[in-house]
Amino acid sequence: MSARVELGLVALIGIGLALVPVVAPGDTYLLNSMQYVLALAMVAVGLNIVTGYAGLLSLGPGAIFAVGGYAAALLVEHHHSADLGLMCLVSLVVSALCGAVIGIPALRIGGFYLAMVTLFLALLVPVIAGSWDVTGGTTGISLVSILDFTPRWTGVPLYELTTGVLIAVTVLSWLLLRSRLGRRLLLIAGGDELPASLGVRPYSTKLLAFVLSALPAGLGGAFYVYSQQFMSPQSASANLSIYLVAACVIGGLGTVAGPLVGSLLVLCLMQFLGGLQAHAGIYFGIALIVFALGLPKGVVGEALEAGGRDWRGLLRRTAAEIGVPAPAGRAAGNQPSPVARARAVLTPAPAATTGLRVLGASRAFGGVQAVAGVDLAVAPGTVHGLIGSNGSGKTTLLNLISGYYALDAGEIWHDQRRVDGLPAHVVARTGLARTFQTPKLVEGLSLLDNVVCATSQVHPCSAASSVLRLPGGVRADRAARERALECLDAVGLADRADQLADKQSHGVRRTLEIARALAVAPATLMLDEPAAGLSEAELEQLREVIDGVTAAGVGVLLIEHNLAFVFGCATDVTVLHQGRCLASGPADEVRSDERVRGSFLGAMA
Amino acid sequence: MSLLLNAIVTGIAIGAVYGLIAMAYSVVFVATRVFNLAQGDLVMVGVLVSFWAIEIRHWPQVVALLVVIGVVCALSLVEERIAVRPFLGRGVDDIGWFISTLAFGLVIATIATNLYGNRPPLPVASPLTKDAIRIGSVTTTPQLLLAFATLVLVTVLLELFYRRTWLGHALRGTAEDREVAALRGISAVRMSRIAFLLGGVIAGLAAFVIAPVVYADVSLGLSYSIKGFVALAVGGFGSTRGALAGALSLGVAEQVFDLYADPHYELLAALLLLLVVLTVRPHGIFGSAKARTV
Amino acid sequence: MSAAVLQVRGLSAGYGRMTVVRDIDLEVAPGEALAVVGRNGVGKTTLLKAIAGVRAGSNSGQVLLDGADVSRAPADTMARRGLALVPEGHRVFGGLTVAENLMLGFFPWRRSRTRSLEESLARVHALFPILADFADRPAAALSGGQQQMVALGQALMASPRVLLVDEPSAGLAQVVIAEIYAALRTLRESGTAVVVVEQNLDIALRQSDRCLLVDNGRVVVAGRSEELLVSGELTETIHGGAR
Repeated sequence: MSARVELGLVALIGIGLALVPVVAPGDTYLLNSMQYVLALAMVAVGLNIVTGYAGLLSLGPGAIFAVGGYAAALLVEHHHSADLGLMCLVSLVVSALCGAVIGIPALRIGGFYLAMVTLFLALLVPVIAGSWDVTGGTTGISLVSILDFTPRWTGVPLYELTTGVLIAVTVLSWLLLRSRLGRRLLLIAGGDELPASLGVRPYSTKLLAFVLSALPAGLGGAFYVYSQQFMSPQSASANLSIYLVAACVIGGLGTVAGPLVGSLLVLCLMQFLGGLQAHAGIYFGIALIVFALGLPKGVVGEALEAGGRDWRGLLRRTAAEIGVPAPAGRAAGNQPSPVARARAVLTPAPAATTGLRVLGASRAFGGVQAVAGVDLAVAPGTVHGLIGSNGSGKTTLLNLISGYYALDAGEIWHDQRRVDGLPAHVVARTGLARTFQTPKLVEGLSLLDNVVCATSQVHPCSAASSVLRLPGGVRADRAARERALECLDAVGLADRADQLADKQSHGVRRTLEIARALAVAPATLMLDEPAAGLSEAELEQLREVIDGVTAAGVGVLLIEHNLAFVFGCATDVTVLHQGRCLASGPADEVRSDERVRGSFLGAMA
Repeated sequence: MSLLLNAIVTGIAIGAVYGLIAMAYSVVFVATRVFNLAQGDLVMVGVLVSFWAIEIRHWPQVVALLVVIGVVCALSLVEERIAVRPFLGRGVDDIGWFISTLAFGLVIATIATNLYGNRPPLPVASPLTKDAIRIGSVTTTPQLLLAFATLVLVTVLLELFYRRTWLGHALRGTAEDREVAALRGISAVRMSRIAFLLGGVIAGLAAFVIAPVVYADVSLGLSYSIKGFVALAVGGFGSTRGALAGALSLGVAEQVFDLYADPHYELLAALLLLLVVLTVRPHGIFGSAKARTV
Repeated sequence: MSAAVLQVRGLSAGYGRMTVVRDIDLEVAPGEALAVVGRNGVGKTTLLKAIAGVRAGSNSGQVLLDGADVSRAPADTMARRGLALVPEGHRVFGGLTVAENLMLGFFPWRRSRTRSLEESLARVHALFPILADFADRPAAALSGGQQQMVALGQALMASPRVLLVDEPSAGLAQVVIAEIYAALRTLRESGTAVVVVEQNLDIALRQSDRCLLVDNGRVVVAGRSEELLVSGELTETIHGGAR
């Protein structure tokens, strides 16, 4: 039960905030200032979803906050009878739309374009709002002057309601992080290749993250307008966006309580600095540099780590805790072999396939022909070894098959579908799983959760039902966890299921990748140097896993330098040299081929 | 028609202002792959120092120029040391420098605001005549022509520097492959310092030249940064000629937007230009796909 | 071997949390060629990088260059002190032309210098004439073999006393390999010490004075190359080790 620390922290903060009117009764100035802080804290919680979880730097949370705020203010201006509920609804819809409109072009390029485009918007929105008649120009929109508008919520009840909503939003972000959708966001944070290899579309996931982060920002805008009774360009200056980023970084990006703690720290200081407010930029700027440099996990993250708990520790749950039974029939004595276990997780066998076929694949980078006219076929239930010296084009070929690069010429077919030219995540969904030369893992997650990232694809449910823990989502998530544990068991890692990925040895990390690849129940499995750096015992285990995989009718494309290992399990072998096939055929023939023997030191084995 | 022609000429002249800022960015980016978000604030500080040296201290133009370049260079080097160098070894994925340069910009902008006080944005006297230059139906000012000439000069000198000098090769090489550069005796830290020094010189020069055009306005730093970014993104990162083309396109786009739409929403023109170019040519006019990954 | 220009004592190195090179000793004299062979992934590249000052993880042991302890010197200092590593994979600066690549290798602010820029360039062009012909082409547009020549030529521009070369023959055609080794021979004759990591055992033994077989991060066999070539000891050990 190491987990719930952060949630406890959130609860404590909630209680503390709720007690403010009790501690300082009748202090309306304080209450009003705190309303402002709470509304902006919601924006910070949203920012954390896109920047903390999904790793996409957004520098314009203030822009979406402003859009949400103006939407709510305009609603009241035109429909005096509107109240908080309707304002929130309109703000949510408008800010989500705004997030989509910004995200669609800005996320296309990747890199730091989202950061720059959002920073641009942070600058742009107040300028536009200040010039536009509809938004009231520089004076903005004042609700006080609308005599028909009588807010239903005021004073302490409004304050308590805002606190409640802020805590609810934070708890929702906690539920999100621990759901399959949250894991998908964490996958995205590590780059496009890993999610694509699991059939997750990177672009739409990023867009979803950005839109999700816009929702609390819009809600914050509605609460700001409702409590402060006005909206003006000064309400959302570009510096506000920078302070909100500062709040998240100082509190701890990627932690659940971090944005809450950070925004309370930063915004309360801003509100109550008094005469020093003019210097706020200096203090927070320096604090921001210090945190970005030396304390990248923020106050909450560093404190959790110092406290001996990992900052994402709450994602860890032991198998026992989540109620997954140990795989059946595991009493001592009748323990099934790894071969049988690997076979079991791939059963029922995928529908009969024609396997993987590569025809005349070519690709050049600059002046170098990395892959030139390579033919290759991986039949179901067999192992095809792919060997060659460093730089001979093996990994490039694998990346071509995966759809990471486009072919210059040639065709790739998998399971009777032509897959070249398809986006990588679509290629993966045809049942093509792979591992990476340098293991790509979600470091902050447990081994089990790393595999669950993949099994969630096998046991689908709507993202909402997983986040909100609806019965369908709970059932699918449980099934995904059970399957993940079976996959870990198949590669012999079940006893480490709840350990963190970044604390593991090289061998375990490689093996974990294989478990994750098995988890999507592939028709063809591509392994990129799976034996590199493995101990003898681990090698033996790997051999058995590969045997089990082929026994289940799955084809394996094996890139490996350890030739003894390749010739020990491959039916066919292709030798690449300078991007071309030097030899290809049944393993025995290739082994005795003079050209191959002459070309490799290791081939003398 | 003459309105449009005027808008284009003014656009090119204003584009020269953005171009000078973009060059300062580009020099730093090419060598370190760091996009210095405080660059706009450095230029803003340079403009303020121009104002102080010329309008308050009444120093000669040449002295003022040297002081401006000196102050901006010093700030640039301080920034390099505290906000950029610690991140250099951490790999391209680490976006810490993004936050730290933004924060550094916030710090110097706040300091500048406090020092400048409550004065409204004030003009800085131009060393040149204020009389407009007329060629046919087109009018422009000598100061804008000076900005354009400076931009062309800086671009040419930079191209020569990159193509002809060992240091230029070393800066480009370091950006491409830090490890091999180190194996050839080129220290990444030293290159980063040189890049920020050079970026500071250009930013200082830019500030001095544009000061009579833009007024001493402490709030403009971030928008300089953004405009410089748009110029680079439109032209293509890492290419000096691209930065030039991007900046001029941006200037013209703004003036044409002012003419046919509404000058109040001028900022929108830059955003639209950025989005259009990114949709049609994601790597910019002169950019290659390779530059994108950084 | 008392006049060794490079001495390595008890070097251990690795990347991240892995130690891949364990307690290695080696030395090489001016004009001598030392070949390091072994299967892929046994730590040869890490060894060369650790000597050259490219460190990505834990590091211990001693590296002496002309008797001076340079164990903690970073890569750029090592290069300026006269040790050049040509990493594997013909890594050149693709955006620079061939001429610019070569010029970049000539570090202009070195105190002790044996050759001027023109002399260095002439020497590299004599070794690889094609680099003079292709001077204005971007290095990215060259073939792998030509890029390897650019990489070697770039390292030679600094007139290093010790040249470390990682897998110069990998992925190259026989003619190109022959040209590259001919160049390395010329260098040795002019007194440069060469350490080469080579995959091809036959080439390694024929083109070196001494040879080290590395397995699992340690030196398993060491000896004179001619003797090892005759005895077949290496082949046997690898035969056993690769099982």
